[in-house]
Amino acid sequence: MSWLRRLANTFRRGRLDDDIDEEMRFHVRMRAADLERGGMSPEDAEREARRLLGNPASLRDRTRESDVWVRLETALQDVRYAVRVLWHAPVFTITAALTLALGIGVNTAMFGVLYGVLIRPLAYTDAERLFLVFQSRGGVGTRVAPLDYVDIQQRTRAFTTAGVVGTGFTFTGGTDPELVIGQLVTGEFFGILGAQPALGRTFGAAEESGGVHEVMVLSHGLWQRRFGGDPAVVGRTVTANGRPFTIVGVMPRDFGFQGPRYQLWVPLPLRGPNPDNLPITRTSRFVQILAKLKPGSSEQAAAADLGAVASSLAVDYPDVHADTSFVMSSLIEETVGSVRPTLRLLFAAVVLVLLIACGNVTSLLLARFTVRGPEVLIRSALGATRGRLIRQFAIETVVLYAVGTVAGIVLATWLLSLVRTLGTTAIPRATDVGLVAPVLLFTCGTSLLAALVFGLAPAWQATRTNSASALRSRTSTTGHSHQRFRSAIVVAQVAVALCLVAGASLVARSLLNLQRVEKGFDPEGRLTFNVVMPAARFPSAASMHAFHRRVLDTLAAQREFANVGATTHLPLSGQDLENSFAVDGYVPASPDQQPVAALRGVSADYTTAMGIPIRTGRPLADADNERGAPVALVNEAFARRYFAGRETVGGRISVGASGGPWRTVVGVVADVKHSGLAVETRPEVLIPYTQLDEGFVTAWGRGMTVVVRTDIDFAAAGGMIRQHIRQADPYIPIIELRPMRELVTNAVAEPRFRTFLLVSFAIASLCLAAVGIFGVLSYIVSERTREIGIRMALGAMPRAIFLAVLAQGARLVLLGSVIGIAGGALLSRWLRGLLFQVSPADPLTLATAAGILAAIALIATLVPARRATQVNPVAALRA
Amino acid sequence: MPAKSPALPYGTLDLLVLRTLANGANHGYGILLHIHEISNNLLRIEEGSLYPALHRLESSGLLKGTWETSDTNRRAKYYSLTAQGRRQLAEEQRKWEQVAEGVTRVLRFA
Repeated sequence: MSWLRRLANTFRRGRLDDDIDEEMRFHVRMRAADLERGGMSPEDAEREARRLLGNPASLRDRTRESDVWVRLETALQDVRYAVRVLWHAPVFTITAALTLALGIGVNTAMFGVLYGVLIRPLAYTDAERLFLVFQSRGGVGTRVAPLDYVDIQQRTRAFTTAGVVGTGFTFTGGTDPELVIGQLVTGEFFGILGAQPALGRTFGAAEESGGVHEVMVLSHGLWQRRFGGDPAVVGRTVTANGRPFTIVGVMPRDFGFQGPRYQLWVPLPLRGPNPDNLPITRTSRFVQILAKLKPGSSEQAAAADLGAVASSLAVDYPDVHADTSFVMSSLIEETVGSVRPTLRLLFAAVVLVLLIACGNVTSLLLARFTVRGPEVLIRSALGATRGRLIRQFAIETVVLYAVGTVAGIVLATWLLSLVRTLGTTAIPRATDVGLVAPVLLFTCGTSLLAALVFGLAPAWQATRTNSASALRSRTSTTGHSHQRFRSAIVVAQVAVALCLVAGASLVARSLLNLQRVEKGFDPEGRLTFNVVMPAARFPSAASMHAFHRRVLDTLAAQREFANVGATTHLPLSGQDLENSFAVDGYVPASPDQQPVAALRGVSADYTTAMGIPIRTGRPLADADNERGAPVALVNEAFARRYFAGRETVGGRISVGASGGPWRTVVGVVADVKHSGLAVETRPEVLIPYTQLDEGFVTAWGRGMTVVVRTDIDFAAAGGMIRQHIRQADPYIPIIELRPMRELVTNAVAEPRFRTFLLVSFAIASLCLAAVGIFGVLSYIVSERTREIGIRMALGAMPRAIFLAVLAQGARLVLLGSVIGIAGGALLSRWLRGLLFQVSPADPLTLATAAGILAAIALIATLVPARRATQVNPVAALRA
Repeated sequence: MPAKSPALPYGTLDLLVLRTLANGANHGYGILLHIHEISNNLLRIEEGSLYPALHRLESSGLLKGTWETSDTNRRAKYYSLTAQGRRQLAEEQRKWEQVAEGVTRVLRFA
């Protein structure tokens, strides 16, 4: 490898120069000796010898650099020549560059998403040391009770922690009331995230434990929106949840924790007075723990710390913590872990699209290089080595790929802007994906690699013509070898395209299944909204019950609203609550099989308003109120698990593990998809809102989601709702007014995003493969023009010629399909986690995919086959 | 000094060097002398272009250079043909003969 040696020489210049000098010295001595023999004096001989050799420094330089110079010059020549050649073949150049732009564009965009979402570190100091800590219950991570959190905070050494609780703040005073979602955080929160305020200050541990918690830090967004970006906002007092807060600071624009939804931060009152009536206990688990490993300590040390806390809790509180353990999970994993399989799948898909695109360009290049056979011959006759010719072709390919890359980057810019606007409901961190340096580096690297791999092959093929015989005859062995090469490319393309189409079909069928899945409620014609009843205005359960009833009665009185219902936790809204239960007659096999179910407080009409079917028994009635006998509805999953084989309606359950006061199950409702359409429904209990006890309602029942079933236009209905709520209480804001259909749509946002992209990529790959088939068959037909002419002259019918070409195409497609189905069967196992109610080896889907491919391939073969029948035998034979 | 000899056509030097080394390994000065002698001093090689040419041929893998002790007991760099150099020589020689024959024919018959 001469270039390696040359490279090495540049690092060993000193030794090389010594070598050259010694060689020159030897030369001079020999020459001088000869001259002396001719009769010169030694001094003259020496001088003459040096004169003949010339300036030694310049000679040394020329000797050293001659080859480097020659090389640079030829490289420049090659690039200039390549540009000229491509410029003079605009159709070829544009076709190839657009094909590459498509492949490289989708690759760049997809890698941009992959990088921006999965790889790019979170925007916090030392983000790789941030974790979330969960309490583990039966393999499911839950939040932690406040008093348990205090234990973790005080007894662990390997990390520092902050507690975080999301909650709503209703701003009153000034204009309309407004509900802003914020986070209650302990004093370590800002320090752990390494965040500095843009204005004013944050708050520390002192304020939290000293009970001075009426301070508030604003997000940049809230500051801009509600306070007009006023720099004098620090020190102002605002009223939220009926209490005064002093604004002490504003965070920078890019700061946020768990998304832009959370717009303000207030101290979490773990030790001092507790105006929001948070249940500071060991049983209500609602604190999220953010942890940061201390420098030098390991995850193992942190896990050991957590294990020690869990064991001591088990000793101190055996009734609650008999089987408690804590687990930690990195913050980045918690943020984006759920979309990793989707993004990996999509990235794999675009790599396949790029491979198919490169296949087409390789095929095109080979055709072009072959057409230039005479040029190759003339140039090699003039002294160009095969390496030199291959280099020339390779440089042409690299120039072509460079053009394609630039166009691809333009395409990627556009695709990424689409992702930024349309992808935000489907994937986290989608708002700031972009063409950053690592992405561009990846793109350039990929293109160069592809150019070399896919460019060298046709150059190698095309320069195999070394005999002059190729000049004389147009059809030769080289033609056959090119044909075989291009046919192999088509077979590979068909195989890869089939894998993509099969994958896309499986994912699309999953989406259809998902959308058709029995949801347990009817989203059509339902409008929902939230109201929150802050503690300052509604201090008691009775006042909340009264407001609840007033809202429902007012709305139900409207002719336009067919049914009105309310729940504490709306399906698919992301809100959920689990509680322990006792079931009369059910004996848990072990303590950790104590009945656990989701708990909702609902109005009597809720099941009707949501369209939740009653399977047995009766729905709730107006009489099931604070004065009526305690009752409950359970879902089928609850009945199956805890009333297995026994009559459910008429059975007795109670909230809490202790057993009693008992309430009677009056009906069984359908299983509602609460946490996601693909998620199996867990046991669920619906209790009349007005029968929830004081402590529960004031702690967990402050949010109320109303469902209105109506036939009128949602915009008009929304206006009516706003007006009636304002009349009921002018200080209560309405949030999240939206059709129930929208929640269902958002619930399938990620599968839809995945399916849409995968289907697009599959279509692109189909088109590219079709172009490939078309190209190679056209080439074969043109190669065989003479042969076809002879056959026709001998009496072959056009129909036979047509079928022969079709058969040739079919052979390639069939071979590719067989390989593709085998490959698809191997690859589809990776898909399993993303599929819903369809097997990765589903024969119907695979057959459909193969059918689609065959149909497209058939269309692509029709044109060349028809062209073959139009060969004029006379012209073909004379040519 | 003899009368100024004609300039070598571009690229011919490589051919001459390769042909000379086909007889066996030699150092730069030896190559120079050999070409002068065989060509009856008709072809005169510029010493200033010989060494760059030798190094270029060496780094493109046509020649191999080794340091050896000369007849006069001095260290000298001896060049020899590689297998690739041998092939290249055959190729260049064939082409040269074609060109020469062509040119001669043209001169004679045109």
